[in-house]
Amino acid sequence: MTRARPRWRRRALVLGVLAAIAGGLAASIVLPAGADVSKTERWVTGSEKPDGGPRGTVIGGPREAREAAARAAQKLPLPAGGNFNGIRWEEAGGIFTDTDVAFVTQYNATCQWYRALKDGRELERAARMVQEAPGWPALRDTEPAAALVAAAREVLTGGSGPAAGALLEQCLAAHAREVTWAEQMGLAPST
Amino acid sequence: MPRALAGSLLSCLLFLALAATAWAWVFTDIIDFDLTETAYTYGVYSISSSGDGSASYRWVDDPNHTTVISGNNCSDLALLGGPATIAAHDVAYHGLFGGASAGACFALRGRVATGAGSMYDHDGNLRR
Repeated sequence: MTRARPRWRRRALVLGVLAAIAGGLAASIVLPAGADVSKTERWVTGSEKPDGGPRGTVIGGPREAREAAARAAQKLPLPAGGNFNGIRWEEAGGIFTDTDVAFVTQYNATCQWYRALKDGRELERAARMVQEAPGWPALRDTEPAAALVAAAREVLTGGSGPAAGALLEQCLAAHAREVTWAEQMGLAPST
Repeated sequence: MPRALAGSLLSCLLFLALAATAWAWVFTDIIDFDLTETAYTYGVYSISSSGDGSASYRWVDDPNHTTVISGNNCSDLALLGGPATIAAHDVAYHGLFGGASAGACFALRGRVATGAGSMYDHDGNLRR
């Protein structure tokens, strides 16, 4: 003879199942797991963006950005044969700020050092540069810096893990485009 | 009752398992994306490890102009995918690009359509 389950216990079980279903619905439709809907999250170059509009000082259009990038190439550490001639300022169009140019050139320089590391060029310096890059002024405190830090950690431990692999893949794809663009502009592409 | 309960539990577990396989997007509010007819960079972002490798954008408050939003590669500024042309009053997500790996860096750029003037104090949302 089976013993009847107390009514309160049956109700609790049914309510539990309903709550789980409702919770599942809420998690998958309203707020997917891992979703970040923070109104205050502001991942912009450098620090908080105070108002709408470009952040930093507008330096002009593609021509002025290209000139500023050429000046940056004289100051930033680059592998031998490195430059920023392949950056597609003209394709992006519009206006650029000093903050934009600093970020793009420092990110591009990071890519050049990852490619140097892969090719075995200036190995010791390249290994040091990929460690230092995430801390460069325009890169640190940005959302993309997290991927650079993860990739640098993998390089430091002597291997090419998923983060470094993905970054290198992106850098190689970008470089292939840069070569095409630089040649189209009548400029020497980076090594 | 026990059979019905077991059935409910099974359905619930199945539902939760299916929900767990859904993409877990990362959403970022884009506040005061003030636009003129000249494109500029609002900020730099990266593709999440929990999404599907795409980036999409929507206006959360009713935009009164047609806008053009793009994702550009951080290293060479190449346009990733095609820019999304979002009609006035459209608040749905529009794909910027897809097929990127986790951590891929991109700049969010935007402008209003040529001849549309300017649009200030509108907020959007970036999904990746």
